[in-house]
Amino acid sequence: MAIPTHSHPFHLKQYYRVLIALSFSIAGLCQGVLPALANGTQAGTSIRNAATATYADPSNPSTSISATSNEVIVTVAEIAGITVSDSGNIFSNDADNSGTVTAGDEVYFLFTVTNVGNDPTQFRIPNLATTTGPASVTSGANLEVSNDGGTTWVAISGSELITSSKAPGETVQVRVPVSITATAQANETVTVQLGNAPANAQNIERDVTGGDVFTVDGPDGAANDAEIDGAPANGVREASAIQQVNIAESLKTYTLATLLKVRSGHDDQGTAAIADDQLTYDLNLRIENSDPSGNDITPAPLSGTEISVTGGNPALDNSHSYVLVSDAIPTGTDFAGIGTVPNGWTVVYTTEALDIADAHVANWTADIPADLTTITRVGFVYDTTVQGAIAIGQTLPSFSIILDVEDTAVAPLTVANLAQVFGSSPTGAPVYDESGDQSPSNYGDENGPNSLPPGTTDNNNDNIPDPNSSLDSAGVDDGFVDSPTNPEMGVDTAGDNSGDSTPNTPSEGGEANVFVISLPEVADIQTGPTNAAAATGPSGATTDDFSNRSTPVLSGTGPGEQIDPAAVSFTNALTNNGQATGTVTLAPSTTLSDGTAVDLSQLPANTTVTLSYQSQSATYEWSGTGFTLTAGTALSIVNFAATDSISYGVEIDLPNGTPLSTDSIGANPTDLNAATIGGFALPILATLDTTPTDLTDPAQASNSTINRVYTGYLKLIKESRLLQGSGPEIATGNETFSAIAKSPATGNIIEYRITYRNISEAQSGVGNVILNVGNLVITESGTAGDNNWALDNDNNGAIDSSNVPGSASDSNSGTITFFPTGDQTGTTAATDVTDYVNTLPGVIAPQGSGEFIFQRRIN
Amino acid sequence: MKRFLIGLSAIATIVAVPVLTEAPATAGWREAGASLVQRLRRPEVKLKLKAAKKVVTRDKQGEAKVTWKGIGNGTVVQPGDTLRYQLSGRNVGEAAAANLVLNQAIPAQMSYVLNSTQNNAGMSTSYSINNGKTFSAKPTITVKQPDGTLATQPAPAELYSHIRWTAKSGFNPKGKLSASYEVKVR
Repeated sequence: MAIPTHSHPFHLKQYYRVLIALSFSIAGLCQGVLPALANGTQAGTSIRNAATATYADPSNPSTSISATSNEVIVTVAEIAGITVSDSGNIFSNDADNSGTVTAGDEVYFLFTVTNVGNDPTQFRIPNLATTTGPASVTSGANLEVSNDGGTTWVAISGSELITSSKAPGETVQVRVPVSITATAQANETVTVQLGNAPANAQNIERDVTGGDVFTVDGPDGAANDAEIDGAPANGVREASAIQQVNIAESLKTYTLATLLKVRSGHDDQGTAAIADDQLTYDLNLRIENSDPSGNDITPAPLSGTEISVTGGNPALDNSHSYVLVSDAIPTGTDFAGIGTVPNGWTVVYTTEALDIADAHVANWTADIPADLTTITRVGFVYDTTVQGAIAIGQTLPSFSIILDVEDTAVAPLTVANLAQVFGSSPTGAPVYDESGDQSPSNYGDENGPNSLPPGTTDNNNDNIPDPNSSLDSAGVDDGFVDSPTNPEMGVDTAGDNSGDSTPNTPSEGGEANVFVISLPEVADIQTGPTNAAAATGPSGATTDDFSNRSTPVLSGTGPGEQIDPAAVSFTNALTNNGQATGTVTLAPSTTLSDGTAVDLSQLPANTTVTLSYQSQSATYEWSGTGFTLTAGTALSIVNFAATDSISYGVEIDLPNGTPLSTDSIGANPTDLNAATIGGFALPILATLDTTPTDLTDPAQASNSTINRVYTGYLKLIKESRLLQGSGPEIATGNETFSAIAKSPATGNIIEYRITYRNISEAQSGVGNVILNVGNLVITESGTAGDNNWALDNDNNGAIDSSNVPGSASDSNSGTITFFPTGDQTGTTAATDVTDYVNTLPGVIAPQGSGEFIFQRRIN
Repeated sequence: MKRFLIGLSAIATIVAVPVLTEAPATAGWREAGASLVQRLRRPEVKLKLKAAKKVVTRDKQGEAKVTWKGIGNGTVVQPGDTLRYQLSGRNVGEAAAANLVLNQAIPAQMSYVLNSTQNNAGMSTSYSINNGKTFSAKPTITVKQPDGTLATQPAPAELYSHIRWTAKSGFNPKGKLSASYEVKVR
């Protein structure tokens, strides 16, 4: 996740769960989350695209100028698509009443033909099917086609039927009447194939053979026709399917419909109060194409059932069969609106009290009531009489419902919610499922996977609901959660339709989706030096606390020299001081957490910073203007909860060619008038995101700490001045301390002054790690290195200068010892002082300094 | 002598001829010139958008060959086709354009092809997966793992809603640049 660069006003910040819920808006579908239509973009759609740009006149950079390109338009072609799928079988005549397929029986083999193209199309259905085994298409009988999901069937006359036009997604059912021969034996296999595609492929270009099921493009130019004129770009498509039944096997055809519900959004409107919050729920309906219940069921498509509907424009026909998806409005909320609705479905409402009628027997209207607070259930209906059954293997795009929290709601508010679907299978058996689990058609509960869906009957003991039966209302739930804090039907624990992981009671049916809306939690995160995450820096805030460390500097390294410092390690602390849990990211930054820029102008390019925590490691390289991740992945600590506290490592490796921190900035490293380079400060930014799945919502809390590396931090400055002593007058200017060369004569006195200063950052705030200078020993040698003031340079038998006894002093009461012996004076190395050693007690604190002075008289 | 006097008077006459309203006109010309110069010294960016369709053919050896066929307005495409949009920009003004940002909203019926963005001007590219609210060079989503923890993953192509190219330096007068990306028709 990108580290936010905008500033936070203070480290401690109220945050609100600002998930922007409405990815879907009623006015237009939001781009990024448009569900991919299984059929492809509608034929004839014009896709428009224009680009824009913004720029500025450099002489007026704050005014934005815009430009727009021409618009490019492409149109989506019509492509045809067809699938044929097995939809089970039912007895036409169970001659021996055995309930199993045996000699002499007549069985309907059902198939579903679906339009998977992007434009309405017709289908060609042949009046023949291919059988193998001890069976044949019933002599003299015709294949039959149903346009209304299996309620009514029309025999094909002649050799084929061209169906009426079917919109994308719509289906027809075909049933093949098959007679089992009189000599059929147990375990022999009967197969029936509808269509004749190579390898029973789906949606391929038609390979012309007899018995094909294929698409027939609608006629051009028909009035009021949504169908795009002209042939589909991909020609004629075909598909076929084959079904198998074993003799002496029972037939189990039933619709397995799974309804899924998730909470897709919570919008707190940017306020702490919960009464203005909105919740969005997404429902998805899945028609299974395999049987997860272990009951050997042949899955069938979903047809409608009798639902009482009125209203709508065009008006809903109450005599038709509908699939109903229903959602009772939970306690503490009111209906606010609808987000998305899949194609072909109509939104309906009921204001009837929930305890008067269950959803499938309530009175629904497509006309939205004026007062939304009177709505007790919101629903969606699909007319299978007109559009055919919903084919197996489909997961419909989401239905989404938006709820308002009521004005009188008090935090914390528990919102518990369940959705239901009602329909029927082609055998006329009722289909009823509830959300919250993966059991289709409410199959299976704690009593075992073979238990029947509640409200259904099984008088013929084939373990599927009886054909042509209806739901027993005693087994149907009203869909409303009476006790949200302890839902009577159990809870979908993870909120993702995985069911109740700790069920208290056997719960037939679905499980409630539960969400608690509570008052905002404070988010707060702190990072700082070891064990001092809440340290405060010079500003008094916790954003600029610091830890200072120095690299070693080899002895003999003088001003102006550049070094390749060893890497320096810091251990920083990180704590969650707030109440909210979230994901923490850690990374180097050019600004503090409050947006204050840190001067990184002296940080050498190619400096590397490695952050580490447990097994995570991230290395960044500084380019001179920014940090780039060059190895590992950015540190991310998930589920960092209130009171959690950890340490993480920061290793800073300055590159070869780094100057000394004690040198002066600029061309002259010993320039006494220029500021020193100082330490190389590197801010580390920690951010806490309490809503990591919401990409629109930036981090709620952040904090920073500075890790600062010094390449040495004790600056030594040596100066001299001349005193007349017993010699001639001294030249003007030589009497003040300076670093320039002086010209004393015999008898004059040189006074040397070594100023030593701890240039590191002063103590401030609370908890910062500073650099004291300890164990300081300053050695002034008149003979070592280039120093020559205790040597006889002119070879006249006497050393060139002699100690002035009593002149050596240190402003911090350092103890000065003299070599070879004591504070003596003489003209030879043995009788004079060749080395002064100043040993400082205690420490020199940051910004502390002192002066070490001694005098030499010129011989 | 006479000639001399005539000469004088001739000179006098010339001197006496009043100067026409040259001065105000000159001033006016200078003003127009100044503002004309000012107008020309502004940047002006013009944009052009083109589209091409990816066509894959097989040669005699069965090897796939990819060509891009430019398409005009109204050209018909099929769901599943890959298109390439190419945006060209020119600065027809006489000053550099500062802070140039190019924006493309990916049409709703198309889905972005990952890593297909290019530009010839060293511009940095960023993407939005939340309808233009925020942009990032590598959009990610957080996905709950089976064990309940959260993992960050690259965002899938279907979520990309916008592409943005940001110039790193000024776009000079007479400069040309182009940026492109590919999409699949949903």
